[in-house]
Amino acid sequence: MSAPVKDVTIPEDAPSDLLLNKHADFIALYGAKKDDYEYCMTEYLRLSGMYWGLTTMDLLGQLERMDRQQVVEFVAACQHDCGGFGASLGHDPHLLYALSAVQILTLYDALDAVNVDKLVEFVSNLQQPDGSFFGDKWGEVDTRFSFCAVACLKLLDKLSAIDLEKATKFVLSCMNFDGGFGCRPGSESHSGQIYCCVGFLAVTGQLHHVNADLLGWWLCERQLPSGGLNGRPEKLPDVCYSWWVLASLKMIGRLHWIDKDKLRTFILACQDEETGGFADRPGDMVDPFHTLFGIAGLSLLGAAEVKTVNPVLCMPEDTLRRINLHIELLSS
Amino acid sequence: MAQELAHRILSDLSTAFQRHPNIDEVGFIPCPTCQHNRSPVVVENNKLGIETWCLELIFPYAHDKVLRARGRDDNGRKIKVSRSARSLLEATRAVLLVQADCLTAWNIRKELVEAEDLKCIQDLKFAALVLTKHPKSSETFAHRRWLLKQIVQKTTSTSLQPSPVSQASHTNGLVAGDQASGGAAAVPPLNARGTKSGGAELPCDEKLLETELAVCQSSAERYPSNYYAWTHRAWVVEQVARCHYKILIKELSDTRHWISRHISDHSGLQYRQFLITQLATHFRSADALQDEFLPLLTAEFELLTDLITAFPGHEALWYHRRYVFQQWESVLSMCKCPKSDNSASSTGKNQTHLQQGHPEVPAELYAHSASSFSRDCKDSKLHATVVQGNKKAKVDPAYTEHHTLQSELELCRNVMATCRDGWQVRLAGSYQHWLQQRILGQDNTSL
Amino acid sequence: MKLYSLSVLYKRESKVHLLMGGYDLQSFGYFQRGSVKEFMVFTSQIIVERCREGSRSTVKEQEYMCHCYIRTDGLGGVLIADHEYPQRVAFTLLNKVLDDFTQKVPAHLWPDGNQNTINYTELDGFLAKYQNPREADSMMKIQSELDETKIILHKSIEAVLERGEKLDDLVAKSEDLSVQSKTFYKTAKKQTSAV
Repeated sequence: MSAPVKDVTIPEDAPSDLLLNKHADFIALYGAKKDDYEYCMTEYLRLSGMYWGLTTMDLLGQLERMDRQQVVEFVAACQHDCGGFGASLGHDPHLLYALSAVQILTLYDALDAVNVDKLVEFVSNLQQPDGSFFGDKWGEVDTRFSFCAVACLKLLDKLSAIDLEKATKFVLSCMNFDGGFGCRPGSESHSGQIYCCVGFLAVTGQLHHVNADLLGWWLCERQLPSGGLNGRPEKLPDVCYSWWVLASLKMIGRLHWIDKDKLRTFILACQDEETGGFADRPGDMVDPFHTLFGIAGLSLLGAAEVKTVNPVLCMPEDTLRRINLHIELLSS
Repeated sequence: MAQELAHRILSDLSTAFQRHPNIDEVGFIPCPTCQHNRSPVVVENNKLGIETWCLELIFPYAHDKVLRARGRDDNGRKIKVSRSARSLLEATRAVLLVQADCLTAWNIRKELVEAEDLKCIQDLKFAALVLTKHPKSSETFAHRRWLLKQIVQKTTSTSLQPSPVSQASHTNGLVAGDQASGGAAAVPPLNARGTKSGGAELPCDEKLLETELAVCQSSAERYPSNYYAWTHRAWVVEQVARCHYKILIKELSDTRHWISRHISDHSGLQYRQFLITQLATHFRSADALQDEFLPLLTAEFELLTDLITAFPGHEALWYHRRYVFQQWESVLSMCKCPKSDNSASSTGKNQTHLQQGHPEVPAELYAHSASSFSRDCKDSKLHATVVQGNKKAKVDPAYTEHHTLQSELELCRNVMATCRDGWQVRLAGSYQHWLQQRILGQDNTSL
Repeated sequence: MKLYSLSVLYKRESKVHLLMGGYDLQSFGYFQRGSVKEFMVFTSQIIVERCREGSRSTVKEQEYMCHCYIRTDGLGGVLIADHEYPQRVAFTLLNKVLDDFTQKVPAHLWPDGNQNTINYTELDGFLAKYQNPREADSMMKIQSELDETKIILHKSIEAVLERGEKLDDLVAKSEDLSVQSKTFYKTAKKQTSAV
C-alpha cells in the first residue's frame, strides 16, 4: 500500500502530438469574442492576456493573423499620464501591466507608440529605499514587481534608471535556506517567485548569486511521477509551473536534471483536441495563460515546430535578437 | 431590460447587507436560470447566497460602473467622472464578490477610505467576506495589508509621541517604522528585555490582531497550501505584532495542532519556519540559544519524527525537517564558537558553502535564510510554553553536530530499508541526498 | 485530514441501496453542502454497484479518496475522505462500522431498508471520533490483520465504470440528484484552478 502522491494520471487517450494550428485558432478566436461574460471577467488582466495570446501566436509563427494596428492603439490607450499602464481602458496603472505593454510593443516593434520616458519614470519612481518595488502607488511589495521593473527597463534599454545594487540586495534578501525565493523576505519558496527572482538576477547579470546546485535540486524535485511539475511541495502539477520551473532551470544551467520526455508527455496531454489551447492539467478547461506556458515549455524542451523562446522574458529569441538584447545564462 | 434587472439585483444585494449586518460568508448557488421570479440574492443563517444565473448580468453592469468612476464608458471612451460614494461602494462590492482580483475596484475603495466615506474596519470585514468565496485572492490580501497599515499608522500617530524607532519597544503604542518597505529587514525585533516574563504589552490592538489571524486561519482552511494566506499571516506578525515574543510563541503553539491535522500543507509548515527564525532573534547569547532555543528545535524534530512515521509519504514534512536541521546546525555552530564572530557571517558561511567560488556575497543577505543572532545581549528566559506538548525537552549534552547528522542519516536509512511505502522511501532518499550535499559543501569550505 | 461521509449500503444482484449515511460537511460552503451531500451519496452508490462483493477498493476522485469495502454478504461501506487521511485507518473504520451495524440492525431488514426504516445512529459518532485518526484508535500502530496489497486502487470514478459508461451521462440520468446539484457538477467541471 502506498500513500497517494498528489499527482494526476494521464489518460490513455490524451493527445500526444502538438496541435499547433488548433492552438493558433484558439487564440485568434479568443480575442474575437468580446461580449462574453468570461471576457469581461478577465478584463482586469487584459494586457497580460494579450501578451499571452500574441506571444503564443508569434512562437507558432502566426503573429500576422492578429491585428497589429488595433493592438498597438489599444496598448497606447492604456497608458496613463503617470507613464504607467492599466490592464485595460479605465483600469489603474500597475507594474504588472507595464511589463505586458512593453512586451507586446516589443513583439510589434512599436515602442514609439507610447511615451517611453514617462514609462521609465513610472517604473523608477516605484523603487523604495530598501531596493524593493511597489506594484503601484498603493505600496504592495513583492519580488514579482522587482522582476517586472528590470524586465521592462531591460527591454527599453534603460536599466540604469534604477538603483540596481539595492534592487539586487532586496531580491537576495528573499532567498531561503533551500535555495529558492519567496515574495518577501522570509516567505516560502515558490516556483513562480523563483522564476521572477532568478529572472531578475539574469536580467541584471547577477546569476552568480544563485546557489545553482541547491536550487536546481529543489526545482527538479518539483517533477512528479506523471512527468508534470508542481510549484511547491505537495501541490498538483500544472502546465504554468512546468514553465516557471523549466525556465528557472534553464537560466541556472540545470535543465538536463529533469526527465524531459515525461514532462513533454505531460504538457502535450494538457491540450484540448477539440477547442485547441492548453489547460493546467489534462482534462481541465483551456485558457490563453496555460496555452502560452505550454507552448513556451515545449519550446524550451526543443520542439522543432515552435520558435525558440527566451527563458527569462518568455518572448521569441528572434524578437530579442532584433533589438540586440542578450541575457547571459549560467552554463551547465 | 437587462440593465434594469441588474440594477434591481444590485439593490437587493445592498438591502441584504443592510438587513443582515453580520453576513459572514458568501457563496454562489448553482442555478442555470431565474426561477419562480424570486430574487437571486438570499441570506440564510448570515450566509449570503447569489444564484449563478445572475452573475453575468450584475458583473458587467457593476464593472461598467467602476470604469465610469475612472472616466471611461463601456466602449472605453473617455467620459466625465461623476462619483457618488454610495453607488461606488455598491458597484465595487458586486464586482469584488465575483472577481476578487480586480485591483481597480479595490483601489476605488482605498480612495473611499481616504475620503472617509468608508471605515478601515468596515472594509476589513468586507474583504474577509470576499475571502470566504475567494480564499486565495492575492489582491484581497494586498488590500487588507493596505487597510492594516492605515490603522497601524493612525494608532501610532495618536498614541505615541514622535519617537525614534529604536525606542519603540519601551512604549505601549504601535511603531510605524518603515511601513513602506513591507520587508522584515526593516523591522527591529523587540528588545529582548521588553519581552521577558510576559510583562511587556503587545505593540498593537489585540482584537485587531486576533481578527486578522483568524481571517488567515479560515482562508488557510478553505484552500490548502494557501500561499497568500500564510505569507499574509507572517506579514501581520511582522508589521502589526512587530514580531513580539509573546505572539511568536503563541502562534507557534497555536499552529502546532493545526499542522498535525494538515500534514501536507507546506505553507503552514513554512509559517512555523518563519516563527522559529524570528524567535531565534530573541535569544541573543550563546547560552540562551543553547538552553532555550535548542529545546524548541528539539520539540520540532520530535513533532516531525512522530508525523513522518505516522503519516508516511508527505513531502511537506520531510521538507520542513530540512529547515529544522539546518537551523539546528547553525545554532550549534554558534554555540561552539560564541565569541568567534558575529552570527550573521557564520550563518552566511553555512548558506554560501555550496556557492562554488562566490564567497563575496554579503553575509547579511542571508539573514533570513537562517536567522541572525546578536551575541551582545543578555540571555532571556524561555517562556513556559516554548517547548510545547507539556513536556520539557532537554538537550542531550552529547548531542553533537556530528551525532545529529549521523542520526538523521540513520533515520533515512531506516525508512529506506523498512518502509513499504514507495513514495516515503523516495522522500527519505531525497532527504538523504540533501544531507549529503550539505556535508560535501562543508568539506569544500574547510578545504 | 478530513472525513466527509460514511455510508452503509446493501448490494444484492448488482442492485444497491443506501441504508444509512453520516456526513461532516462543515468545511464546504454553506450553499454547497446540499449538493455535496447528494454527490457523496451518488458516488458511494456508484462505487458499491461496480465493485465486487468481498473486495476492498479505494477510488481517487480529484482531491477525494473514496474507500469502499463490500462484504460477501452484500453489506457495504463507503468512507469519503481527503488525501491526507491514512488509508489503513479508513479500512479499519469501515470494518468496525459494518460489524457494529450487523450487531445492531438485523440482516433481514437490509434488503428493503432505507434511512427511514432503519434505526442506526452511530455513524455521526464514528465520523466525529475518527476525524483525528490518532486519537480515535490505537490501530494506527497495529499492522492490522487486513492485507493491504489486496486493496484495489482506481485512479478516478471513470475507472470503475463499465465500458461505454460515462460519468456525465450517469449524472444527467440520475433521479437522486437535484437540478442544483447537476448544475453544480457542470460548473465544478468547467472551473480551472486559476493562478
